[in-house]
Amino acid sequence: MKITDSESIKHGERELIDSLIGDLNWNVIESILKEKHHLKLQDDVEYKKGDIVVYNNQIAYKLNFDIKINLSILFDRNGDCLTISTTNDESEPPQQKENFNKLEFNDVEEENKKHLPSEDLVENESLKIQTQKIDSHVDTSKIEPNENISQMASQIAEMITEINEE
Amino acid sequence: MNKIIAIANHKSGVGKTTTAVNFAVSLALMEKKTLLIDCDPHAQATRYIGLDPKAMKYCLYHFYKKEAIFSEVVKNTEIDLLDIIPASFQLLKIDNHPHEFKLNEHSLRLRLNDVRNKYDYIIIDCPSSLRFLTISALSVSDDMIIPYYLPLCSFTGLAYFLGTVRYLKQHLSIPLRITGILLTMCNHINEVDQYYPKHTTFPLQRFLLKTTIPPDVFIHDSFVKRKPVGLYDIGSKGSEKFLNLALEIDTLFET
Repeated sequence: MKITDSESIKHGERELIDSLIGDLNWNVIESILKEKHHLKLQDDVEYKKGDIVVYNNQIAYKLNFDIKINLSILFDRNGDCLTISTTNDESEPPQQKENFNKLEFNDVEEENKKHLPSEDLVENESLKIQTQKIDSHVDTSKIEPNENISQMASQIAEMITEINEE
Repeated sequence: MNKIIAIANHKSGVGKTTTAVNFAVSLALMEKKTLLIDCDPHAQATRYIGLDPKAMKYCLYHFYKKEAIFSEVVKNTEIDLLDIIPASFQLLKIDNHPHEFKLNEHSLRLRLNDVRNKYDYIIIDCPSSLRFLTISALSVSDDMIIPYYLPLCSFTGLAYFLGTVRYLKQHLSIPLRITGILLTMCNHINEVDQYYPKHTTFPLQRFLLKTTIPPDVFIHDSFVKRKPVGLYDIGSKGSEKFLNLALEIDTLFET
């Protein structure tokens, strides 16, 4: 028996995750990464997904990002960092992994698949973009890395000329 | 005539932010009134110029959302003729869910309509993606410079990027043109021959900017110290090259 709208719960959770991402202190995260893993963040960080999880019997928030490495941040309700780990980091004790018990899974990656920017724009009347249409504008069969470099250079030059002439 | 120039490439690590910041600084040093817009949620251009994104009351995010007007989001820099609209990580929300903020690809263009005439140049540092923020930045731009780092970039990737740009241009009716490809961390334009068989890249030669940005310890140090190289050491090779780039582009537009 439903007692509320599941969409409003999902929306609220996503708002919460977005708000948490916006308030992250990247200077602290960068310094922890540098100190613990000798890793340095590059200039490209892409949000992957966010989870509300149980960690050591308390509510925690797990945010995943795509960077040069895969970064996972876990912090408690006080905003204190519990762990920061990467996919290459095997130092996380197995029992800690077992403590992860998902309450709700807000898979933003899946959400992003549904709402790629180009698809977001489909909702605008002014622009009907379809990813496959974008792809179709580049004939990949002609530009594979091992193909004739000269042919690829010509194709790129033609594209630039077209763009500049339109 | 004022120009809005996007510094864009879908590939990360090719020198977009370094180019955007130092190019904007060089234009300002050439006494061109310049606005730098940091369109990347990671806000590295904002940090590079010496500002702390966390200390900003308003940034591009609020400008997009109409929660702040231009005079509230724009910040002065150490250089008289250079202003910046800073970024913050909040921009990621817009990139992920633009429709939730009732934004479309023309939003930034509409926001900048009233202020673009105040500047000779507006330089936009784009994120390394082809998501909403980049599309929005390309939609407002008259021109685009594509930083290209030879060891990291490929013709295949460039073709995909240009294919998308061409599609956007056709469907958004935007004036975007490609000013040129800027070789970064490259001492001379002839270094192309080290990565591709000689003469095969001939068709592309006319689109390569004459100026290249060399690997320079002063550029690297200036990034670490969060002071654009023109302010960090005006006599350095890196600073000289960015001034050359500004001169080359300015001359191109004047002719």
